[in-house]
Amino acid sequence: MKFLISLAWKNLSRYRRRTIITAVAIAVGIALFIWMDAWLLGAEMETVRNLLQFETGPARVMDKKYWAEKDYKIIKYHLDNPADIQAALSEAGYESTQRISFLGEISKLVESEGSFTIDVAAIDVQTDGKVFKLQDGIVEENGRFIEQGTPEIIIGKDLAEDLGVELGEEVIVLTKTAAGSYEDLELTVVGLLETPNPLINKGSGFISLEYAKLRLQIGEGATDVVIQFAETADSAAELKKIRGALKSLPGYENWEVLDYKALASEFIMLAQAKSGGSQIIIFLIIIIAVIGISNTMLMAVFERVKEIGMMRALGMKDRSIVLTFIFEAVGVGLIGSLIGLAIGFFLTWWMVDVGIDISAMIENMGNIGYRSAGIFKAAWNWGTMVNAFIMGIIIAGSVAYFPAKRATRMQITDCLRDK
Amino acid sequence: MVKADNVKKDYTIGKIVVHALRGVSISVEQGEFMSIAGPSGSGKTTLLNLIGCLDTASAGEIFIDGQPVSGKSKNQLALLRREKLGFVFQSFNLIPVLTAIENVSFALSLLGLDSSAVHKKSMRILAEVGLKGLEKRFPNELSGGQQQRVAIARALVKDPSIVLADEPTANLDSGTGKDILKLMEELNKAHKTTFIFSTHDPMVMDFAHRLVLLHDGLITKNGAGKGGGR
Repeated sequence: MKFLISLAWKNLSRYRRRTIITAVAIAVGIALFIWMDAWLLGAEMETVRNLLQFETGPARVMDKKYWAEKDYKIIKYHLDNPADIQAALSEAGYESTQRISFLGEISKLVESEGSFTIDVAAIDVQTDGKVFKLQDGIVEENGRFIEQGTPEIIIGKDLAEDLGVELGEEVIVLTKTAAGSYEDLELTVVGLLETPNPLINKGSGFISLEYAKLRLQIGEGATDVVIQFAETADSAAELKKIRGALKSLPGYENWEVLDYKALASEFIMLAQAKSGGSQIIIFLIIIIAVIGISNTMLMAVFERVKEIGMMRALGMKDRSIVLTFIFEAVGVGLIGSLIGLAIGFFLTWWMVDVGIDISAMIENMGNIGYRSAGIFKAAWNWGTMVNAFIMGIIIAGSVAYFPAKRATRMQITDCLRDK
Repeated sequence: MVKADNVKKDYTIGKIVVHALRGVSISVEQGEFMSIAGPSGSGKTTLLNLIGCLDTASAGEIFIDGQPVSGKSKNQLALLRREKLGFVFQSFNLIPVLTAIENVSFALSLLGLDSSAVHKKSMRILAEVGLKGLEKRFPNELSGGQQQRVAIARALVKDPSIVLADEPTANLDSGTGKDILKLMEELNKAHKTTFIFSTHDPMVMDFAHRLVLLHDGLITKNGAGKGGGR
């Protein structure tokens, strides 16, 4: 065995150029695999983070009818006793905040050039920060956060540009009250949001909950109670606990308690579809690498048919000959996988540390599904790295088997006659 | 030692059947220095391949040390070649990535000997074939004659019963060829190993102590050779 390994290693150095070319093919495949996977994982993780921090929150309690008509956000279907829900949640150890989420038609009050339908959330200024990170989206030069009970609004910076609105200007938000009548909300733009979530920047506005309750005929109600729990927590287990805490409250049977996966199910489906597409690309990369290695190993075997014939004539068993070629291929796979791992590691490192600025692309393309507006970063996936490394070696070893086996099926005399 | 009993070998090339051997019977005793000679296409390499268990006969039987070789599995034949037969090829067939001593050791390693015994025996046989001091050279650093000496050392190092050499001097100039034949003759005497070599060169035939002439797949002469060369 030791001799076979030594012979395989010597053959690797004997055909140095071929070894390098094949190892590079494997390395490129492995590096791309690691890099793409890290990129996809990074995009997905950032999207989830941005969903949690700016869009959905970890979980919500809503009226069932409100959820059923979620595309229209009809505030008639609201929770009557959000404060009781919050109290029960607090007792169970959860931070939460109330929101009234509705659709509004926004336009400039003066010299309007058009209007846009946006998602408006009336937020509790005191408690919203316990769940969301909207305040981080306003830097100093972009104004300030809204104050409780005032007719103020903060809107996405991209939306402001589309509307042609500047800080301090007035806008009108046309919406329906809980009673079904139309209401014009005249609001002063006090802040422009620049968050990592492009959907927030492009199509959202936030006003005071106290002010909204006054104007939207909703009483003490709210459309959502948004609940905080750790990003890393098992959301199914948390939901179970939350439902347990709420089930004794009156009206519970009319509520939906959902986590972000259900709240952003469209994104989850999109991410899965994209992940499927990416898997196909990864599969194609692997196929190209496999064909490259197969071709090289085929050449390696058939160039040495005479040598194989001599070894068989001297009494070497076919199994040992096949093993020699497999060891050789495993050697190439090992070198290629190590190089690929190193390249993949540094590419991922760069993508984790620096990333790619896609803000211009987002601006031009609009919503690409992923909730990432600025720097697109990767995430470490050590499991993929280990898998890719092992896969490179196993694939290389496997593809050597067939040509070597085929050569041992030839007559020894034909092998020895080979030119 | 080696016996061929009415051995026939047919090859099918397309629709044509070529009768390479048409009923050859021959016996070779321990320690013989024998040449199988004849023109191209006479069947000498075919006979050598059959004796060397590199090919199987279409009819008849080959016996080595009294044992028939037909019916043996691939692995059994590999073991037989490993233990009892040594080969010297026309184009040397050394492994280019291995040094002279590693090429010789290769044959011994297959027998599963420990590395110190392998090294010791390999050094000794290389010295015997006149390659002392060249043990660590790679094949491409050796002349044709030196490469063939390595091949002879590789064939002999495992103390086989028979060494089969197919046109061992065909790729060498006449002077080097004679040196190789003299070496084989000396080793035959020293080790009492049977040497069977094929050739179509009359100069080489003259070295044989016994000469078997083949023509169109049949033995036309089987008798004493001149021995010692001209």
